[in-house]
Amino acid sequence: MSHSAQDIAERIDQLLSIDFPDREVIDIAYPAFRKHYGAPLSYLAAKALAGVKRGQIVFIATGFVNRPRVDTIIAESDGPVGAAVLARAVHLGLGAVPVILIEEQIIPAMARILHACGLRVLELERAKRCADPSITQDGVAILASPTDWEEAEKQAIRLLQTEDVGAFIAIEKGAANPAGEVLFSRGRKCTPTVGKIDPFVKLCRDKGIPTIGIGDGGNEMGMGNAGGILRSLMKYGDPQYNGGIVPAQETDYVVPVTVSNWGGYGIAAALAALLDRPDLIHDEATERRMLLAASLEGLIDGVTGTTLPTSDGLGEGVHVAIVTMLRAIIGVGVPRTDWPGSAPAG
Amino acid sequence: MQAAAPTDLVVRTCDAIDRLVSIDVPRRGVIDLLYRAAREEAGMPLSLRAAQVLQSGLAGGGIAAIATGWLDRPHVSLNVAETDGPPGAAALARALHVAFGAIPFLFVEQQILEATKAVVHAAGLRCVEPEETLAAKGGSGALHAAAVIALPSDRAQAEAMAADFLVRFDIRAFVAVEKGGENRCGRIRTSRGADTTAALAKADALREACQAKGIPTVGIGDGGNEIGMGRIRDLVADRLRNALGPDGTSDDGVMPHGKTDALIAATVSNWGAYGLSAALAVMLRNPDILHTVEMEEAILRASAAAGFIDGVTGYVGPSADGLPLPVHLSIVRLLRSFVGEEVNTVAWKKYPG
Repeated sequence: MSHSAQDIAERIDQLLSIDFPDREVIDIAYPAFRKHYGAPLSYLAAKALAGVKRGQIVFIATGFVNRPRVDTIIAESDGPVGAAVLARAVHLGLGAVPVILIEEQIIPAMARILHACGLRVLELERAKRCADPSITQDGVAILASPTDWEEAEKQAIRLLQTEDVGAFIAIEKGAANPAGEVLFSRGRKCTPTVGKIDPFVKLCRDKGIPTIGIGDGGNEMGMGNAGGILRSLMKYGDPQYNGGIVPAQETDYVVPVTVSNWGGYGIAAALAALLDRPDLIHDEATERRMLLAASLEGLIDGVTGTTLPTSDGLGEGVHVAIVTMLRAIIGVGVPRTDWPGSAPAG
Repeated sequence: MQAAAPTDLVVRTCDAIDRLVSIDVPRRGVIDLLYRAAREEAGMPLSLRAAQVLQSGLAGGGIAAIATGWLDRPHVSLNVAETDGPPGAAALARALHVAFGAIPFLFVEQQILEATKAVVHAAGLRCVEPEETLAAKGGSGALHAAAVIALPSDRAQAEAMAADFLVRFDIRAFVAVEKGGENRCGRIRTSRGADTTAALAKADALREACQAKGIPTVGIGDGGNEIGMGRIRDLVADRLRNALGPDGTSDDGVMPHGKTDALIAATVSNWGAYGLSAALAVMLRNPDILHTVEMEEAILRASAAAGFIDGVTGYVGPSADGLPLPVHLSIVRLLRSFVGEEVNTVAWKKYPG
């Protein structure tokens, strides 16, 4: 079973690391991390999540305020949509309590996307009740992620003291480079506007709580893994660009993808394969609904700056097609066939 | 006409095309082996290599011979053929016509002549008699013409027909899409190893006749037993199931003996043809060369209406190799992103980020 899930994850990784927008990042990041970890990266992340117990909290940090020179209310649709898919997967698949960490001003948009994904946003204590299998309610909580370093650390310490935490996931979340600055993917500083999750990740790792980073640009939490290998491989990893975009803090696992949202889908799909629960990957209608919710709440396509339901410069049809392909890869609607001609075992 | 060297962007994009059409979605377990060997042998993206080979023959127009068709329930009826092959051939026929002004001649078994015409019509080309296609180029009213021609299953008859066509028509390229290839013993085998020589049109006779005249050839396959796979026979015969025959050599196994100038190994042969169309579109900077999502749906529905079956499920339907319609539409949707549809590559290039 698990070998076949690993096999399926291989195909998930193959699909999600195709450079559709010709951004010229993923062909550097994916092979580097893949070589380091030696297994499909969506599989390793899903396997770590599979260890989460019912009732435990899974923190999912996301949100990128990415037109600070215009207004700090502007954030992008890449990240929150993938975060919602992950929240849905860990709730339905593991009975975990998903808790989103996001900048305060993006909470309304995040809530709308979660609702489009099927999860009711609730106060944390009430969201916890939804882990009870006798209760028919899909729930999720959202907490504001402080942009102040000290406050962020206090929040992390407090939550780790009071809550039973099963895992921490960061998706499309800027993280500080060795100089303490958070940068956009081409080296511009954006430190003041980013919710700080670096201390949270460090404390989780100290406590042995699995941490996962998902990114597409090189500047996100997780992309500093493998000893910061991207620093020497990526143009803007060079310290001459405000200290370089690659984060200092590492996570246990990283899923580098063409669009960060897809990393969330990929982990959900790998978890679906691992647990033999095809329902853990969302469907095409949900994808369209979430992208529309993001649009209506004013989240922008971070590349084009439009509020239309696109993401990272890719149209709605592309994201929906990715979901269709992921569903087929995990076997939804595809008959299991005893194909001839496969390579003999071993 | 000497083709210009491809730019880095064209090579990168064609590599991405290759990766998309070689994802083992149906879990068949062979494409990784076939693709890696073919990619290594070619030393460049397979879709790009094939596009270049076709450009070398068709740059000035002329006729493109496209062989397809697999009668895959011969124990029931020779009239039953599968949906993997003709849709790819029809889409590629359209692509070669748009790209080069080429006139596609599709060669299939006599039993599926009319069914194949229906699929070609769904791709936008009007099937007329081979001689009539030549008149479609001039005249006052535009007609985008193709011909579908019955190729005999008898080897000698196929050879005679190939020789005749090469004299009568200006054939400048040969492509086989999901077409069984003859092994060294002259037998065509299914991927399960069964002898299916008698049922199939002898496309190798046409390939050989083309190659004897220096006409460039391309093979597209997904299982290892199709025309084109001869290029990698020595590289994978020891690892592909049924590739070795009873005598322990590949002489009577599933892999073909003859070699085409280029090979595309894809998860589904149709996808290999779509990937080739996409590569032509990227190389020639003309998005219209690749068919649209809407055309893909029309093509697969026309295949079903014409009675083609899904070779895996055995049902008549707009599916191929066990994969339902939305998967094929998604493949075309994603391929179209490489020709600039629903993707803002320009914005990425100037993205300040």
